[in-house]
Amino acid sequence: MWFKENIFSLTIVLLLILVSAASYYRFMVAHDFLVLHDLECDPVLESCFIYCEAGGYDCEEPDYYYLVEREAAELIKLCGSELKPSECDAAYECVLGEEFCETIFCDPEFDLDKGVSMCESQTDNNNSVNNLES
Amino acid sequence: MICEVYNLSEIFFYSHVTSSVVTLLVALIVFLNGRHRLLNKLLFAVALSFSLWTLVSYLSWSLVNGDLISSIWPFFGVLSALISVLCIYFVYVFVYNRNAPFKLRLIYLLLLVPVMLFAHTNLSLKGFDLASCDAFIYEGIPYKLYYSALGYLAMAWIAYILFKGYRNVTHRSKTEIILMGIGIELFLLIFNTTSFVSTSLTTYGYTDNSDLEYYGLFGMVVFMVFVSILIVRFRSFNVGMLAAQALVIALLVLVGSQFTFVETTTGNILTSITLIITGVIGILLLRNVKKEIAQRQEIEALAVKLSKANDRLKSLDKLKSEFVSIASHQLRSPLTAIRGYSSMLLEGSFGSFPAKAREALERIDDTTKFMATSIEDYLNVSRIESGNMKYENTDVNVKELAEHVVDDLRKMATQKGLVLSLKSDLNSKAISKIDLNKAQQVIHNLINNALKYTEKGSVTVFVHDDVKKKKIYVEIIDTGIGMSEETLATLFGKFERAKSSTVASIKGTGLGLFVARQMAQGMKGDVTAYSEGEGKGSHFILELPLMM
Repeated sequence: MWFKENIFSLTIVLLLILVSAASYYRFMVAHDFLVLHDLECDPVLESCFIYCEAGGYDCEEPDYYYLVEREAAELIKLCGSELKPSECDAAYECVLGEEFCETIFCDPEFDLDKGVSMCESQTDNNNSVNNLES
Repeated sequence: MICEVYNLSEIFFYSHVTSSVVTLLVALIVFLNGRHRLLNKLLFAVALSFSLWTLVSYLSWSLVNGDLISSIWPFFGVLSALISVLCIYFVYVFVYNRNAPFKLRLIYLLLLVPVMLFAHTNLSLKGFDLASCDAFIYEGIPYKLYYSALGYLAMAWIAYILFKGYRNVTHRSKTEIILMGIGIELFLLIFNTTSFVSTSLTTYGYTDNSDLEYYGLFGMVVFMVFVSILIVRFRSFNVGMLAAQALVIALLVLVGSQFTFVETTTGNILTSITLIITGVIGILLLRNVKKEIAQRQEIEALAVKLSKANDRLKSLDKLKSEFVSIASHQLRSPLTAIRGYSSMLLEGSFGSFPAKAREALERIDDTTKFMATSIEDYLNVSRIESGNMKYENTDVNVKELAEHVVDDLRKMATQKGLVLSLKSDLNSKAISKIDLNKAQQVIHNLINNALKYTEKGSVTVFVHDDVKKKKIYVEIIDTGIGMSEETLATLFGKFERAKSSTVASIKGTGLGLFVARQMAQGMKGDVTAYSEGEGKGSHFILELPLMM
């Protein structure tokens, strides 16, 4: 009778404990998830995303970056858990034999679909900037 | 894994801190005032889940550790779903004032289980974006759609419960249901919509600013304001003074929390002034509420005592009526013998007596007549109160009946030097379906009273009818001592007699008018009395149904 009366609260508490434990294990212990981080990019050599602190097209000192998506556990293995990826040289490129690692450079067409990014690339006939923003 | 520090907007602190503090404060007060009541527990559970949600939100925006933020991110979905389901459960208990059936609670759990079970999996969250220090782009869309839809399902379900409760109100007033409905639906609408819309826009990359989500938290403050109204106005959660205190503290927190984002000196001064004014008004409000609650509790305690005393009085009154009935019956038998023999003695059945002895016999006869009348009154009261008064209604000519009674009492009027006359103005045959003996007793009582309380002048009996209203009236108008408004107000009560020295010597039980009115009402009529004041005569009206 007591169990039947309290089944709702008991189940909720039990499930919350399970969720907390499972999340803690996955994200804090096993680091079993993907991480996307941005790294400094040279627009002369690569097609870079542009980030402007002020936003918009007119940016005097834009930041150029590209993205790397990899396993969190791998990033921690390379840089430890206390460093920002930009402060860790090993984070700049995928390691040979790394199970999952993808380097993402700016793709004007792809990013046009997404409608948010600005690209700059040396390959664009010295137009220097492709500002693609919806 | 460390990400870049995110610059939080001022509204972030205001929305998170204010809404959490106000919510927890109100819910905690409610919970502590009735920790065994399921309704109070559920309100606290809703508030706690909401506060945890704001804590998760606060941490996810203020921390820079990617692992940690990722590990708490799934709780956005878990707590959103929990809030939705708890709200349904809470409203069910609020409306029906009982726990939800076992099967219904299982349904609530089944709705929650998928969100809980998949919270730590890739279905919920695949990864973390260190670049923007959030995980919007890695959230599982079907998972997010499911727990967001739960919010809207909760709104529809709650509306259904409230609608049903409104139509068949038993435990709650309609106003309570309306207030609860507006409060909780507004909360769910604002909370779910801003949360879903804001995060969806961020997930799909339409914006990198999810500030809209912060405004959703004020939905809970709106809900708590409605809960506070329900507490103070309707005592819906059995909370008294403490709730008013919580409400005032919550108001102070709301105003005080403006210091977290006001930057100018003028702004700070204005906030300080507002805070002081709110504090003063709050203290006045608390004093009034305290006084009102004390008065209400006193009245409630008195009402309980009064109810008990009333029950006791009813029981004593019944005992008294039974006692009077028994005593009266036992008195009546010997009295009948005394009256019979004294009458025979006066008639000379046992020979002649000297004049002095005859005078004594006449006094015995008078006294026993009064005693017999008194006993009959006591018995009538006893019969009326026990519901044993029987009426044998027949067609009676009221005018003839009044004439008969007037003739009987004419001798008494003449002895007192009064003029007793009868007038009539009739448009019908003056027939009424009533109990002849009781009607005669009522008319006799009224005319007899008029003669007793009139020292000089006249007593006029006026019989008239109202064919449209199907009523016949016997009015007795005298030029006697009259009555004050105070006497008129209690005239037809039991044992009520005029208290002036003028009437102190007049014999009477104080039951005559009570019995007369009860008998008249028993015959679908009534007796009413009027007087312009003491010394200005009295006017009694006997009203009876008229047969056409």
